[in-house]
Amino acid sequence: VKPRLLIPALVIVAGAAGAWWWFFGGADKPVTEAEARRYLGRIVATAKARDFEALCKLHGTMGNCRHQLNQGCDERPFDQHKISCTETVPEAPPTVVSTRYLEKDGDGTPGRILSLSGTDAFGRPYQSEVLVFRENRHNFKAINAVYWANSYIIEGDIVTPGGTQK
Amino acid sequence: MSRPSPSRIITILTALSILTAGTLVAEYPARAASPDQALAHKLLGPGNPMDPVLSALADARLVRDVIAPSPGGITVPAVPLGFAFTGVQLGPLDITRTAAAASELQAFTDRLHRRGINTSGTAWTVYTLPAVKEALDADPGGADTSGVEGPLGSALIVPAGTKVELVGAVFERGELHTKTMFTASPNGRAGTKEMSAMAAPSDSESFVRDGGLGCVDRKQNNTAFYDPCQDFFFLENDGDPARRYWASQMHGTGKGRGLWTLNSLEVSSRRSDGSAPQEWVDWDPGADATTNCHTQTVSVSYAGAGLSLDQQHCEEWDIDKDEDGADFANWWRGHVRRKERETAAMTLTRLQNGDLPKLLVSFDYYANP
Repeated sequence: VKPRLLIPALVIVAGAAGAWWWFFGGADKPVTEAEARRYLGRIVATAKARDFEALCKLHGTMGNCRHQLNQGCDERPFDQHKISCTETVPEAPPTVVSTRYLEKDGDGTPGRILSLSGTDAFGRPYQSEVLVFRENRHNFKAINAVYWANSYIIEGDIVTPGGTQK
Repeated sequence: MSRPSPSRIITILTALSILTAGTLVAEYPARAASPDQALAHKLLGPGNPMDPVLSALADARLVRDVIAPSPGGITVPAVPLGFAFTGVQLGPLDITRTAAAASELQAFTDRLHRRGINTSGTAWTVYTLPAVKEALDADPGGADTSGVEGPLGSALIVPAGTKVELVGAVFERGELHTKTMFTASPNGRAGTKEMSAMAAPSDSESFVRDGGLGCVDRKQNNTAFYDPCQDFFFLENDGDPARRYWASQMHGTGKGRGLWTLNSLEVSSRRSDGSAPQEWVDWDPGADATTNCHTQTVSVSYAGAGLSLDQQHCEEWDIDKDEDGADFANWWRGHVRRKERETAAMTLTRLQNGDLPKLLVSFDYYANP
């Protein structure tokens, strides 16, 4: 490598490393319970405002969020007169029953799982798990932002009705 | 699978939350100049984010009054963009004592009954509401009011005595947004007793979710991320005394990061070692396919009952099916940067009564520079 090219190359490499650090560095920093509860508060306020587009932006991916809104609040979601989660947004915020930290496992993402309970707009009880994780050093995201949809976090490789196993 | 028409103002069910809700509308000092702004801020309450309906109300973009239906009539003229009515304005739109309202109410309570919600003893008030012209233009079929959900195109149904603070709708960015706010009925929470759950009667085949919606924690590294999910359903009233039918629904969305090219996303399952044997009934997708991006319905069915999932199918879906029941995979394969891609698979198997399906699932992804 010619010496006069070395400095620009180093600058580019340093810039790329800095950009990576800025956008993605720190993403594995643990999510505290307070941070997870604050993010849940944003989710709950957005759901109560029935702004489902904004709610799904707080979720990991829009597609999965829309799927949960569409199917999650009716145990018979394929019947002709199904009930959508957009109709059953709880008026009262959920109760945080417990929280636990999900450690990084392989290429899984660490985060804080909030176990929630409450009653939806039809008076039906729900129990759900919401995982709050760092998308990057600046932003949080959630799995199961439709928190009144009786959803849970799969933590193992083996799934069976009603639970998962490591 | 039926979908609510986007032009049908679906406020009838949300209003039911009155039966479990306390006072929803906090007193909040009005800070705005115009009456519409003042009303929007009063209804918004402190600390709550503005939603499309209140935002349009604050901007004075909504119709605030309509001509009442003629005596015996049930419809009011459609309005442009949207509307916002307070409880006082709703009075002339009360059509409770018409045959159409009775029919709408019957469809509504039947729907709740099928979901195990008992509404017997509850008196109701039915208000007719205007359609929104832009929503009708976007979905002309939605104007058809002859559907099974009741004869009224748009309506608000609430327990009698409910004080409606606001009912509104606005058509924005291709979607109809609705909002209903109310305070408790004079009967207070007595109504909740009437809403107690009961066993849902059913005498036909239907797929019922078992165990809730399951989603995996995000799979990610510096090249890509992937959010997969998996749910179980069983077939109710399958007519088979010896076996039970189980469906597994898997789907996921992934995306490459930065300059990395996303190459593959996998949903895969097979019977867990030592678990009960499973016999194939149905699966989907049925074959490999390469296509331009479109919404694809992935579904399985048996004896007239089915379940389905709409996923975006772009580029290649590459399936792999084994002889052993539930051993199935679908890989999305392609080369894309900074675009989400999806994959999905459904399996339907039968097991001896008393046995539960136990699946080893795998959700992998791959991206390269």
